[in-house]
Order: sequence, then C-alpha cells, then structure tokens
Amino acid sequence: MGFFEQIGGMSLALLGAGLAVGLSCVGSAKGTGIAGEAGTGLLSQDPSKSGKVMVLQLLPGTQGLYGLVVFFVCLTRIGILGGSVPASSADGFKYFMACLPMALGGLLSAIAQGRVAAGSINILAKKPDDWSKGLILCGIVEFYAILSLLASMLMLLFMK
Amino acid sequence: MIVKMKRLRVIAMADDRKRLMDGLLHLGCMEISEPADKLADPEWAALLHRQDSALAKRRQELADVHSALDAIARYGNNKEKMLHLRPGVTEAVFLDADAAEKADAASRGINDALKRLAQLQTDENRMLSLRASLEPWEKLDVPLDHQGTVHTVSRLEVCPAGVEPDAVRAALDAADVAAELYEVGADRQQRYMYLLCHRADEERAQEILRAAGFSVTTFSVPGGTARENIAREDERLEQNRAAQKEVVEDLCRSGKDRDALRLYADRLTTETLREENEEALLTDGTILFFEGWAPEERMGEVGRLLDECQCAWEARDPTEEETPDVPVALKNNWFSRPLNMVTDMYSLPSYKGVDPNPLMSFFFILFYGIMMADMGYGLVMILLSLVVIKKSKPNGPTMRNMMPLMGYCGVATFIMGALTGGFFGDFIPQLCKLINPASTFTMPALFNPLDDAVTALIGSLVLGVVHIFFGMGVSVSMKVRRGQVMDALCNEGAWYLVFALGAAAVLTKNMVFVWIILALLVLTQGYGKQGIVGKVMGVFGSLYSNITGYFSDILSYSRLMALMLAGAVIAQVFNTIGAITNNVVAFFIISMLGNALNFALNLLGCYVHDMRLQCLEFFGRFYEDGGKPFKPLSIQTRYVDIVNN
Repeated sequence: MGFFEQIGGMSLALLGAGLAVGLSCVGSAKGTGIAGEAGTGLLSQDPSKSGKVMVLQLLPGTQGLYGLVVFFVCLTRIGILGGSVPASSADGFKYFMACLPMALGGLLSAIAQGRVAAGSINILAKKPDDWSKGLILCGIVEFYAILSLLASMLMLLFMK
Repeated sequence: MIVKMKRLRVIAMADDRKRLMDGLLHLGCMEISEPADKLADPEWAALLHRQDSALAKRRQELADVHSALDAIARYGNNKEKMLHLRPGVTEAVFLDADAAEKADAASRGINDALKRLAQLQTDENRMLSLRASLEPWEKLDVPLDHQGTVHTVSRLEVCPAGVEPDAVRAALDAADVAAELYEVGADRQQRYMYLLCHRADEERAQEILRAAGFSVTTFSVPGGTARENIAREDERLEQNRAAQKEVVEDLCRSGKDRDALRLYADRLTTETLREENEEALLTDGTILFFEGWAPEERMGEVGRLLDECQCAWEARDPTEEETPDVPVALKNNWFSRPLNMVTDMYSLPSYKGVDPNPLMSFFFILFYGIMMADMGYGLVMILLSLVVIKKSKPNGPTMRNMMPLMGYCGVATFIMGALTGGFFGDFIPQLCKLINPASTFTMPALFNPLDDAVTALIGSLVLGVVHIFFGMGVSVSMKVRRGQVMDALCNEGAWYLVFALGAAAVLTKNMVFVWIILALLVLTQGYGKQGIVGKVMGVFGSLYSNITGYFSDILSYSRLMALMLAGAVIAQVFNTIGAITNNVVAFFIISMLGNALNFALNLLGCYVHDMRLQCLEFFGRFYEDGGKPFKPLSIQTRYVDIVNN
C-alpha cells in the first residue's frame, strides 16, 4: 500500500478521470474511423449521400462525449472545479473505480458501434431507403455506452 | 386508423382505355394489381395477354430528363434558395401535350450537347496523351516517319533510364555493327534514342539493343518532325477547347429551361407509373380486364367513373385469404400523422392489425421531450420546424413527416426543459455569474437531473412500465376483438396481476404475495400447450422468457434518464469551458458552438433511442407488421404542386 500512499488520492482520482475521457475518446476515434473508412468507399461512388454517411459516422462519436461528461463530473467532485480533494489514497481510489465503467464501456462499445455503422453504410449503398434501420442497429450498441455512463455517473454523484 | 379497402374486378372496352386511365389518374385512388398469377393459369393465358405499353420509352425519357437536370444544376447559373416553395400548376397545365413536347425537345438538346461535350473531352485526352508521347522527341529534327535511305535504316528506340548509352555503343562497336546511336532526350524512367544503321547490319544491331532493354517505337502521325507534330496538336487542342467552351456556354444558357424540365420530369414520373399500370391490364384486343384495390370511402367516385366508361365491374370486401395482399394505407389526424415516419421505417401494420400511430404519438413525443429536456433546444426545434414548413411546405416522403414531428417534439422538449431548468444547459446562471460574480441565480426547476438522478431513473422506469402496460392493453383489445379472451386473460391478464402483486409484495414485505404469484403463473402459463409435459415446459419457458423479457424491457427505459442527464451535462461542460475565458463575448461564442454540437448529436440520438423504445419495447407487445404500402395510380410530383384552378 505504501506505493499508493506515495501517489496520493488526487493522482488516483485524476488517473480515473483521465482514463474515462481518454479511453472513450480512443474508442470513438477508432469507431468513427472504421465507419469513416467505409464511408469513403461509398462517397467515391455517390457523393450525394455525404449527409447520411456523416450521420452514420458520427454515431460512434458519442462515447467520447460521454467520457468527457464523466471526466467533468469527476473534476467537480475532487476539488478542481468544486468538491474537496480526496483525503487519502483510498478515497482517490474510489473515484478511480467510479470512472472505470465509462472508460471500458466507452472504449469497447464505440469500436463495436463503429463496425455496425460501417455495415450500415453498406445498407445505405445497396438499399438507400432502408438506411434508417442501420441507425437502430447502431442505437442498440449505443445503449451499453449509456449504461456505462449511468453506472459511472451514479457512483460519482452519490459516492460518500 | 387503417383505411378500409375494396377489391375491384373490372371489365372495360379496350377503346375506352385512355379515357379510363385518365380518369383513374385524376382520381388517384386505385391500385391495379399485378396479373402475374392470372397469366400463370393456362386458361387465362389462352384468352388474355398483357396490354402493350411504352414503359421502356418513358423510362429512357425520364433518365434523359434527369441527366439534363443534372447538367443544368452543374452548368446553369440558376440561383436557388435552400428553402423555397414549389410552384403550383393545375392538372391541365401539368398534362399539357404542347409543353411536354417543348420540354422534350429541350431535354434532347441538352443531352445532345452533353454527348458532344463527352466526345470533345475524349478527343482532348487523346490529343494530350499523343502530345505527351511526342514531347521527348522534340529535339529530333528528322521526320518521325523517316524509315531511312537506300543503305541505312533509322529507328526510334526507347530504353530504361538505367541503361548506359556508351556501354551499348561499345557493344555495337565490338560486334562490328555499322550503327550510330544518338540520345534525343531522357526523363526519370526512360531514355529516347535515335538509331541509324546500315541495312545489312540491322538485325544484328536490333539483337544487341534488345538484349540491353531497347524497344522500337513508332508514331501514327501524318509526318513531319516531332516539333511540327506538337505544334499541330497544340493547334487542334486549342480548337477543341474553344468548341468545348462553346458547348458549355450552350449548357449554361439552357438554365432557363430548368422549370419546364422539372415539370416535365414530374410528368414523366407520373407517365412511367401509368405505363406500369397499363402493363397490368389484360386484354384480348376488344376488352380490358383488371383487378385492383380502392379505399371504401372513395368507392362512390370510382364507381361513377367506371359507369361512365361503361365498364362491367364489381367491388367486394377482401376475403380472409386475401388479407396479406390488401395494400395498407394509414389515415390519421394532424397529431398522429407525422409518426408515419417511424411506422414507415419499421414496417407497415398488416391489414387486420392496428395502426400504431395514434397509440404511440403521445409516448413518442413525451419520451423525446424527456431525453432532450432543454428549453433552448426546444425553442430551436420549434422554430426550425415552423420555418421549414412555412418556407418550403416539404412533401417528400420523409421531410413531410419529420418537420411537424420535430415541432411537436420541440414543444415537449421545451416543457421538460422548463421542469428541469435547462436553457442551453446552465447558460443563464453562467452568464449571470460572468456579468456579476456575486450572482447566485439559478433557474427555477421542479427537479435537477444531476441532483435528483435516482428519482429521475425511477421515474423513467415507471414510465417504461406504463408504456409496456399500455402496449399489453392494446394486445388484449385485439385478442378480445378476435374472440381470444382466454388467451388474453392467461397472458396479459396474468402478467398485469403479477406486477400488481409484485408491487404489493415489495411494499408489505409479505411472502404470501410471492406464493400467489407463483401459483398464478403455474396455473396460467401452460395455456394453449398440449399434454402435461407440454404444459410444464410451457410454464418454465414462459417464466424464463417473460421474466427476463420484462426485466430487460423495463430497464431499457433507463435511457430516458441517462440521455437527459448526458445532454444536460455536456451543455454544462461547454458553458463552463466558455466561462473560463471570463469574457462575455467569448463565452457566448464557445458556449453556442458547443451547444450546437450537443444539439445536433442529441437531435439524432434522442430520435434513434425513442424509435427503439417504440419499435422494440412497445411494438413487441402487440404489433403485427407486414402490410404492403398502398400505391395508387396517381400524379407524382417532386418539383411542382398540383393546385385546383
């Protein structure tokens, strides 16, 4: 435990907040990247679909924003934008733990959603009228990012 | 509600075909059925055959008009506002033959110009590549077609850039070949050489050169040196470009025909549909036979037309077996109609099912409001919807429904925003603080999603239970209407009771309720299964699938609260970032940019999640889909509106 004591509660809490936003953004970047690559293929054939392609590409981008929300709420609790500095490394570790669901959920769900979005771009290419069904498929993956957000938020807001 | 349809069978005189089709097009309420199943029957096929049609020709004309319109969009300098009203035309003008002929001529003119332009561009490319291949030989002052003299031959040779000409010359000398090799030019890939050698030695020379990677090249030009040829190509290129410019100018001028061509495109779309319908008419040369569907409420008009055209016809209600084939049209009031956007995306209800639009409209709009929940965003949505509807009266299949729906959802968003005290997040309190740091102004609010997150979560789940119960209620009413009362009691009825008893058990902490629930489920869940084993399996299967099903469905409504919270906090994040600058103008700009991003993401996100709640959790309780959309023979317009004179 001496190791953690040396690091201090504040650093652990910041590590959690940083991972929540950082990993979620990595996930969103990968997800939007996968969808964007698929989109370029379609746009090179049919540039008029750029609006819809952009919508589909944007969907895996929300995880990064959710990560930012968790990051922000964490900062409001640990004495940077409000609240009080965690007194001990044990206190800091609580914040670290509270941030984990978003960090992991955001990272992995964004990548998975990016794949579905890339597939939905195929729908848009072959059956343009049914592209909104792809939106629903993406929305189903998105729900798990929302649940991760919910878990992290509830912990951060109500942790004593 | 789902519009009631009548099945029509009509026999008409073939001579009346045009009059009949004109009349049906004008009424715009009859769908003619595809007769493929009739023709598959040899007895029918022996008597009747399909009516000929000009479908292929119309389709070609339509494709031409569209390419003409594309050309006008590209070359014509017509300015058009993003939102604009479509011009209104009367049906007589729309179907006017003279105007159509003129528009057809214009369309053909533009397509000819496009073909000419494409030909000129191909020529230009060919000239450019010839010129590029001539360029390395520019310094050679021997005519390109010069083959040599009585005793010598001359050749144009190309070799890779890595080949050393001196080494090759040495090789030629060593073999005692009477030849001279001149380097004309070189670039990064190749050297361009001129070979002069004695006729007797040509073969030996070529052998040595081939081994060194040389190859002979020739030009199919009329003669003269490379320089002369380049000059000639330049001149031709200039002429070509001037011709292209002329064609493009022609195309630019054709911008004036745009409106006529658009009207013509709409007309051709209508004609194409009409020809498709004509192909569905069966004829033996004297009479016409066709079957189709028309809404019951318009049978009076259809009947009058058929009588006028001296048709023999009958109309009857669809039979049970025909139900899957009956086309489905939904008719709703102003409030439920925009929900067609969701129903169309999912799948139309079957003819014997229920129209989900009136049932879900309230919930859809309420849920949207809860998820978005911001007065500022609500106002923007209402304004956007009003402006677009007023300025362009959208009639596309999606926009027609999307804009009113956005307006209604905007109202709900505004109300929920007022309840949660959100106006572009915490824009107003942050602004007050910037202006007067001592300000502690907060928006009045019934509850704050950040502080009362658990209350909001429970509220969302309760709304979910209400929504699902309502869906089950719809299912009960459908089953009762069909006489499946027992089924309704054992399924929805039992589960209503289970939920009520479950609530009682939680509140009183009395185990008796749990035993009653179990007994109730054991008694009811075997309904409809055969034999003891079947019933036991039925009970366990139903327990497993229903308990996990209800549990996950209700938890799914937690997204209502989560999206509300996420939207509010993201707005707050951007407002806080803006406030860090301590400058009101910078705060306003940063905050509004961030809010615009949040708004756009939420506009789409809330729609997707709301749609999922309706399509999966709600429809799953009662919906029977699989209806085919009703596609009557009617005037199709995209660029103009048909008005009555």
